Parts: sequence; C-alpha cells; structure tokens
Amino acid sequence: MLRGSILLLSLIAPACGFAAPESPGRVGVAAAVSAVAEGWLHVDEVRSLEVGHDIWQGERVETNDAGLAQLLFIDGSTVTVGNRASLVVDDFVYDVSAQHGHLGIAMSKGVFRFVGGRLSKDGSVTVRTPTALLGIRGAIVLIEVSPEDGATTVTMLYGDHVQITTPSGGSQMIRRAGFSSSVAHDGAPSAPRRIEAGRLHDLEGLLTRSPGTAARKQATLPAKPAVARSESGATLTAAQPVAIGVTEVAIIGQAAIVLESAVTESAVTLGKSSTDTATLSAVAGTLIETPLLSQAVGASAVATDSSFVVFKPVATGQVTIGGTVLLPVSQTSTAGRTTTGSSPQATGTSAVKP
Amino acid sequence: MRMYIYVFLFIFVFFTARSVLAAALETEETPRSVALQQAFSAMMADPGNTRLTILYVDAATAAGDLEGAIGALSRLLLANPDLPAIHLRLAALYHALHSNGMAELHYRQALSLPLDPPQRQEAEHGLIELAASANPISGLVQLGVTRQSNATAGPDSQARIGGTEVTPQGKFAARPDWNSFLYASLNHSLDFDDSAGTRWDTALSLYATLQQHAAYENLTYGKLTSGPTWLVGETPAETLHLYAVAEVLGWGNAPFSTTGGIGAAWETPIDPDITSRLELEALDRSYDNRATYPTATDENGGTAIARYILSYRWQPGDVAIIRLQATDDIAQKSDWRYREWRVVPTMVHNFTGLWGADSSWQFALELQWAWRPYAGPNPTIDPAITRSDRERSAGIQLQLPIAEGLSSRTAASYLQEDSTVENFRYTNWVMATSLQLVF
Repeated sequence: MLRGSILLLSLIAPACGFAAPESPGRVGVAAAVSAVAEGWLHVDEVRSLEVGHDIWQGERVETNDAGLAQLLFIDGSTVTVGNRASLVVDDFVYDVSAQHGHLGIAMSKGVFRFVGGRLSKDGSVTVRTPTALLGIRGAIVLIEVSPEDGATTVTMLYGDHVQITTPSGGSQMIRRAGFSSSVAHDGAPSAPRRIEAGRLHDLEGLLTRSPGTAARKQATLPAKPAVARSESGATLTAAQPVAIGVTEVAIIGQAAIVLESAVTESAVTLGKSSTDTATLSAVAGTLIETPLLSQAVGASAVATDSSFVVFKPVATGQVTIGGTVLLPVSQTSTAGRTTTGSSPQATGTSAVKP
Repeated sequence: MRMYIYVFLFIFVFFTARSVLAAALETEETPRSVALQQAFSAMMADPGNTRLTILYVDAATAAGDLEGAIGALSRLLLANPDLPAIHLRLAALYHALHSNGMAELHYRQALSLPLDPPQRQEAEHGLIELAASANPISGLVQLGVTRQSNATAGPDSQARIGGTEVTPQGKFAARPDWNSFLYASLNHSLDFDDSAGTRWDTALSLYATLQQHAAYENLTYGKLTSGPTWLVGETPAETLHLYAVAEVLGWGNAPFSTTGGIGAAWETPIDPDITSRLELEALDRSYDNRATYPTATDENGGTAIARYILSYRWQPGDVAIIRLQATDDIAQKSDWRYREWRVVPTMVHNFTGLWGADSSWQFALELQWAWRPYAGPNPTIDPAITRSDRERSAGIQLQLPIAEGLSSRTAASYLQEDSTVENFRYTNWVMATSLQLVF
C-alpha cells in the first residue's frame, strides 16, 4: 500500500479570494498518491491524503516538494497535481442522471493536468488561477501557475477548446491540440502558439515522476536477503531483489513474495520444480487464480492493489520465478538463511544466495 | 430566386437535424455505456485497485471515452513512471485523438525502457505512423475493369426524333461493353500552424476509361479544387473551406466541356459521432460542338449545386451517410435547363475478415434516387414532351486488404433511368473490379 504526503487543509480554507460553499459534499476521491517523505502539519484538520480518501467540496489539496496526486471526480474528470502545488475544489454540482452540472477549481500554484469528464463535454468546467479564468470544454489541458506571481500557462493537449479570460478583459481561445497561451500578471493572454516538444516533455515529467520515486523503491525493497516464516511453518529465503525483464521480486513482511510487474505481457513461471510449472500473466494487480496456484506450486495468491501480487506458500516445495529458483521452501524452521535446494536453474539475472 | 429558397431550406434542414439528433443521442444508453458506468463505479469505490483501473480503461476505450482511459492510465504512472505497457497504451490513445505531440512523447518514453520485441515494434511503428501523418500529401490510385450491360446509356426500346418514334441504331443504341479505368486522387494540405488552424487544401482528381468496343464513349475527367480552410466555431472539428473549382471533361477522345467556379464547404460536428457538411458550388460550364453533336453549346450555362451530407458513426468501423443534393442548371436553351433533387444514403461497414488486420475488410451499400425535371421540350426530339427523369440505383462494394495501403475492390450496381422522353429511358448493370493503392 502506498502512503502519501499530500496534506489537506481544513474544509473552510479560502482559495484565491473565493469563499468556500456553505454545504460541502463529496466530489470525488484521491485516486493516486505518490509515496514520498512525510508531510507536515499546519492546522488540526490537516490530514495526509491516501488513495481512496474522499475529496470534498471546498477542500484544499497541497503537495510538497516531492508529492504527486490525482483527484478523480464523480463525473469522470481527473486532476493530476504536481509537486509544490495547491488547488481548491471551489464548486461541484453534478446531476448523475441528467449528466449536467458544474465543476469549479481554483489553482493557486503548481503544475496540473486536467482530463475532462462528463461535465467538461458541456463546457461546464472553470478553472481559476491568480491571473486567469479558464473555461474548458471537452479537453485535456496542462496548466502551470507560477508561485511567484500567479502567471498562468495553458496548453491544450486535446479537445474542443479552452477559453481564457483575464480580469482586465483580455480573451483568447485555444482550439488546436498542442497549442499554448500564457497570461502574465496583469497582462492579457498571449496568442496561442504551438508548444515545443521539449517543454511538453518537461511538463509531463513533473506530473509523472516525483523526485522521491527512486527513494521510494529503495524503501520498499530490502537491500539484503530476508528470512520470513510463513503461516504454515515453511521458511522462505530470498535472493537479492532481482530484475527479470522488468519484474522485481522481494520479500516483505511475513511469508510473502511480492512481485512487482511492470509489463502487461510478462509471464511468470511458478512451479514446485523445473518440470512442474504453471505460467501465468503477471499484469500488475492481476488476481492469479488461487486453485491453479495451489495445485501447481503449492502457493496461494492474494491480490493486492497497485502493482503488487502477493503469494503465500501453503505447502512445501520450491517456488521458482522466471526459471530461476529463488525461494526454496522447506519445513525447516530456521530463523536464518537456508541452503536447501537453492540452486539456480535458468537464466535469471540473479541467483539464490545461500 | 427559387434556388436561393432551396438553399435556405437546406440550411433549415441542417439545423433542425442537428438539434434533433443531438437531443436524441443525449438520452441514448447503449450496452457499452452501461458497462462503462459500472466499471467507473467499481473503480471509484476502489481507485487503488489496478485491476479495476485496467478494466475501466478497457471499458472506456470500447465505449469511445478515450479521455477517461487516458486519465486512468496516467494514474498508474504516478505509482511507477517506468511502465512501458502503460506508455504504449497512452501513446495509442493520444494518437487516436490526433494529439500527436503527446503520442510521440509516450512512444519515446516507452522506447527508453526495457521492451520485449512486440512492444518495441509497436512503439517504432507508432512513431513511423506519426511521421507519415505529418506528410502533407496523400492520395490514392485505382486501376480496374468494368463490365456494363449498357455502356452507351442507349434507350431500352424506342427513341424519338422530331416527335416520331424510331429505333435507335449505331452509337445511339444500347450496347454492352468492357472498359478499363484509372482513377487517381492527390491531396495536399499546407498547414500554416497558426492558432486559427489555417491551411491551404488542394485536391486533384483524374478519371479515365478506355472502352473495348465503344471508343466513342471513352471518358477522361479531371477536377482541381484549391483554397483555404479555417477553424470556425468553438471546436477544431468545425471548419470552413473556400475553394476554386476547375473541371475538364473529354468524351470520345475529344474535349467536351470545361467548367470553372467557386465553392464553399462548412463542416460541423453535431455530436462526437455525427458530422454534418454543407457544400455550395457555383459553376460555369462551357461545351464544345463536335461533328456528332453540333449543338453541344446549347448546354452552356451556369450551375448551382447545394449538398448536405450527414455522417453518423454508430460504432467504430461503421458509418451511415446520407447525402442530399440540389442542382439548378441554367443552360442557354430551355430544353437543357433542369433542376435535380438527389438523395444518396450509404452504409459502410468495416469488419474483421479472413485475413488482414482487424476491421480491414469493408462492405458498402449505396442507394440513389434522383428527380430531374427539365424546363422545356427539346424540339429535335419531341416538341410536345418536356423531359423529366427519375433515376434509381443501388450498388454494393467489397474492399479487401492485400498489403499495407493496397486493397482490392469489387463492386456491382444497377441503374434504372425512367423518363418522359423515351430516348432517356435505360437500365445499366455494372460490375467492376479494381486494385487500389492509398498513400
């Protein structure tokens, strides 16, 4: 399970000079939160945002230096929040049956990606920044808001249009994918121009890769082999975390093999021996059929969220992954590393270490 | 004056159809949309569940909600930005939305990661397709043979000359024949890369037939249109194209007519799956007299054409089109002046056949009805009868893939022309087969 460092200020926090609505309601959920360093406390109502937490109307979402998050709204819209960003869900009204309503968001700083849902199809989405008001219709949009002066740059990646208006009366409309317009402090929106490929790459990078990603991987994968005792009494040992293609294996907790799979077509071979195997797809998050596993390899699978599939050995035997014997399982209840049957077999990138 | 009224009626029909269809489609619920809603609800209840997210992505893609699929897939990258399969799916989705910059970004992201051979091929092919789509030149070439039961469009039975019934003979009689034909079209689009989406579009079409026996029916036809296109309205799908038109027609191995004029085409989306297009053309035709037709210049004059085309994509690979066309021909002589009303419904179905990529086989069905009353009698034919034609036709076509860009087409059609003047009553069965190369 991934923890977040996204903080929520209280429900009545003002944003960009607009007062929060009187009756906040649930508008969506936190659909993704990156795992980085711990957050900080501002007031008593601050909470660390986690995947699955409800998002409420009037709520402010802030990220720290390495935080990333995605908010999923009830109408299907999503907002990806980059690091050092802040937004408030000003207004959300949605009639599910009629599929009409309005979504209003105030973004005070940071980089965001907005993917329009049902409300956006009608042009009922507005985004306020310190320097501009954006009307988004059926679009996927990147929005950058400078923390210094609120200068705003809008890039339409796809869609019908983005209407930009400023307090001074300036107005522009972006109707072509890949075009950007900028609004400086107290300025008018610039004529839309095609965004450079390099700039697009940089913005996407800010929205998919937090500075703490590498640290997160280190934190979840043990650097050294670990010994764990299964519920059935079997003992597992693991080699160094190995990479088979893009598959990483490690031990976490009690009697579990954590398989992190990054390739949808990646096949994982599990078996009691080199000739008694079952090959299964290891799509991230796939629920592997428990009876098949129990019969073939003497292990049952417990699916988790995110990218992890957890296996729990329930019988004796070896559990091999990708042709390389990694985990000899025996009844020896030794709290240490075992060398029983721990010979590497195939062409894995790492061998079992005694 | 009457023509302007007809154009106004067309525009009225256009706006009415647009409103009615948009309202009807808003309340439509299909099995795919129900499945999408269910998948979305499941994902909302457990947004960290990758399996449910992938199921939603699949449902959204099937239902055509590509933006929803993009939003969900982007979330997976927050947990792990180095998922090549996710980058490939995002690239394909952005590619389908014609967001080429984002598609290229994700294809290149995928290529920077460890890939298995099929994934690498998918990414590299995607980049090649993006580069090809940026090519301003496109077109097709079609080469084939046709068999017609009545290649001369000769009357089925008798004809009239000077009010007297005669039996058509020689070139004026109905005659079956084979021909070989060539059709080529070349399109060039110069994008000025401005925010208004301004581009200059030029299209050239060439068509030529070589009859096996009735050489006097050989046809050569060329049409050139060129002019600017702008984005109008609030969506990039709404465009206005103004153009100049030039046509030349050769008949029986000799020049027959030349045409020049101007046109305008306004295309607008009613719904993500419905597009309407209104075309208006004003043309001036000039004919050349010949020994076999010394009064061809009687047909000289202006022509105004209004077309309304409604396209409905009811599911990926399937399109229903209806074309309504009104023509007002103002020839020099009244016996060549006519108005024509034409209705052409067409259905195109792409499906997965015995070979080739998914949905690379295509079946098309087209029907036509036309009514064409003339302004006055032709005294040469019969001074007592004013010509009025009714045309009916039905055709089917099957297109099969052979290789990348190369396909075969087989078509069959039946045309029946009824007329108050016997000279113009005829039927024609047509069978054609051809090879087509698209580039």
